[in-house]
Amino acid sequence: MRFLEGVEENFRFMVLEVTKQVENTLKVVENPDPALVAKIESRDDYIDNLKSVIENKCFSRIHTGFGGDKRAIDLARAVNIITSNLERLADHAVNIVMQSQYLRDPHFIKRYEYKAFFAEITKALRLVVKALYNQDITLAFKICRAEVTLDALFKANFDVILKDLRKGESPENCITAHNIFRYLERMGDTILNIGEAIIFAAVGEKFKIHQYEALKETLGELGREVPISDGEFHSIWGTRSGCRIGKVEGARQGARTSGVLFKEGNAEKLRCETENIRRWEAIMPGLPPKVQAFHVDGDSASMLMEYLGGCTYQEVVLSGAPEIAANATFILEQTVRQLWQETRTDRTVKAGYVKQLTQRLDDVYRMHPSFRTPAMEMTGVPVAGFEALLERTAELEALFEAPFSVFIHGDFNINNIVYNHEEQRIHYIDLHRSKDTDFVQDVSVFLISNFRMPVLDSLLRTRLDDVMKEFLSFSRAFAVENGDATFEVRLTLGLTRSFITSSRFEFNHRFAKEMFHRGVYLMRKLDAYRQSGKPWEGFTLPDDVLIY
Amino acid sequence: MDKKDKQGLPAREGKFSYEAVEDAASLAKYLQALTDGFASGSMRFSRKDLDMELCPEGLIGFAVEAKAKDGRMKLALKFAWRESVEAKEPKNDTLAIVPGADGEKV
Repeated sequence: MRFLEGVEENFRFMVLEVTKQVENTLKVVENPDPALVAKIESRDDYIDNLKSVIENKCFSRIHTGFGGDKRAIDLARAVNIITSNLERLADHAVNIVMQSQYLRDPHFIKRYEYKAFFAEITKALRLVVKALYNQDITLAFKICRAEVTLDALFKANFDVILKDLRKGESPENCITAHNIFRYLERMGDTILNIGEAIIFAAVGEKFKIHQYEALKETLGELGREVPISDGEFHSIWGTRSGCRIGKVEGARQGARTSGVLFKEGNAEKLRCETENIRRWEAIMPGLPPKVQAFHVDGDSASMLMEYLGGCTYQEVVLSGAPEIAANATFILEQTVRQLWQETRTDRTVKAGYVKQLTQRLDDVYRMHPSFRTPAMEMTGVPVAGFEALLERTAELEALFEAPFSVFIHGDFNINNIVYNHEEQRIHYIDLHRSKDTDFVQDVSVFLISNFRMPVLDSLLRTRLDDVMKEFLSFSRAFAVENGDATFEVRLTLGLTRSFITSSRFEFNHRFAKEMFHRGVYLMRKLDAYRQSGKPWEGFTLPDDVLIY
Repeated sequence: MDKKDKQGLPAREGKFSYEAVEDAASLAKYLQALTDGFASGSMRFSRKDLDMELCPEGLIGFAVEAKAKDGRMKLALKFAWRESVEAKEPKNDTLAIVPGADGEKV
């Protein structure tokens, strides 16, 4: 624990002192001794000071930034959170000591299960140092569990106190006993915070214990051991689209399954995803990850999915050897072609690109207020305002529909495609938006997910250009083969949508503006073509729009 | 915010900016309009809250900057000139001190 130097000793003392306070509090509860009461009170000042010392050190360390070492910063944050919760726990100990003096009969409390509270609290406190220093999630989990036990104890004792009150026991004694238990129960809350802070230090993310509960239950339904006792919990992507995703690795190493992926989030969304996965599995076995368990708890749900080996197509394109990248593209196109052909239904559909754009426009403006552009005129050349242009595009879009529908991925980003080199195959992940609609939706999302990579290096940029060019000509060929005469117009609309809405995720204002302007450019092209009165079959997407 | 002149005359102060992605063909339209503006001595820039006229005349400062690096090209054109704005000298610019009682308006 190099980065804890100078804090480590204080921290050990802090835990030790607080544990001692709790033990002494138990002694006072069992046998009120004025000398011990005084000692507890004076130790509380010491604990407060210790907390300030640790807090100062942690903040100065966080402030200096450890040279960007995130783990060290996380640890300093965790130490600070734990310390303030320990201090609060110690305050509750003093509160209990104060309360116990109001017991008319000092032995009254002994009719209740007070010992169990103290045992649970000291047991948890003894794990704190080891759990934090070893970043041991299993121990942290045990610490968190103390809160559940303490809550249960509180409820049980509360019921007994109520019964005693009804029987006519002394209200002073009963209420004082209740107050004491209430403080013990609150100690549980601080312990939970401590456990969660240790998990934070270990996985580098705020993780609520109920998410672990969800994971445990999900695994339990699967008839598996809780992996965090023998395996490791990796938080890989954190929160994406409202779901928390983490990877659980067991000791077992397999070719395909090197672990399971744990997802927790909105029940409806996850249910939708499992439904889609089932359908993809029926269409092309092995394409999606396997769902290994699904658990619903009210509005939220958790699921375990097979963790697919290999790397994302994005990684292959940006860092793979050129021949591997070319091969991945080849296999991807083969797979996509097969899926489009097999799920093709002769039913016309409208993807509603302008509507999709409009729904996200507020977010675009929120991020880049200057994109709200009014109509202008420059030395006699009129320039349409953005929203007027969008309205005209909506009218234009109404004239077109896709001649057939296919089952699309729905979020066909290059990082939602997994390429397994050993097995020479493609997998789809993140499937909660799959549906039967215009295949152009997937084509435009795919193209823009390449375009918007924040890569300026000319070699890497050329790789992205090549992927886009290749995929565009592949999609064009598919359109021609399938007699899709309005492909180019719909693609232009789809790209307009993707260019403009992508800017809402782009913090780099210059690049965001570049994408936004390209979307506007495409709308102007469509508008000008419409005014020319030429037949739409002759319209072609200006390919250059994809070259940055 | 720039306001249109009361008499409907274009404003002589304000700031107008426009940025876009164009292809060479559509760009020619804007460049032609600017060329015409220089020839006629009037360029008008307007949007809903601004109507501004520039009247290039006399000597015009002209700067061209062309850059090429790593396949990223840049061409910047800049024109600058001075126009006579009716900056009126105050007709009576001598300070007048008028005697008057304290607290009374003068």
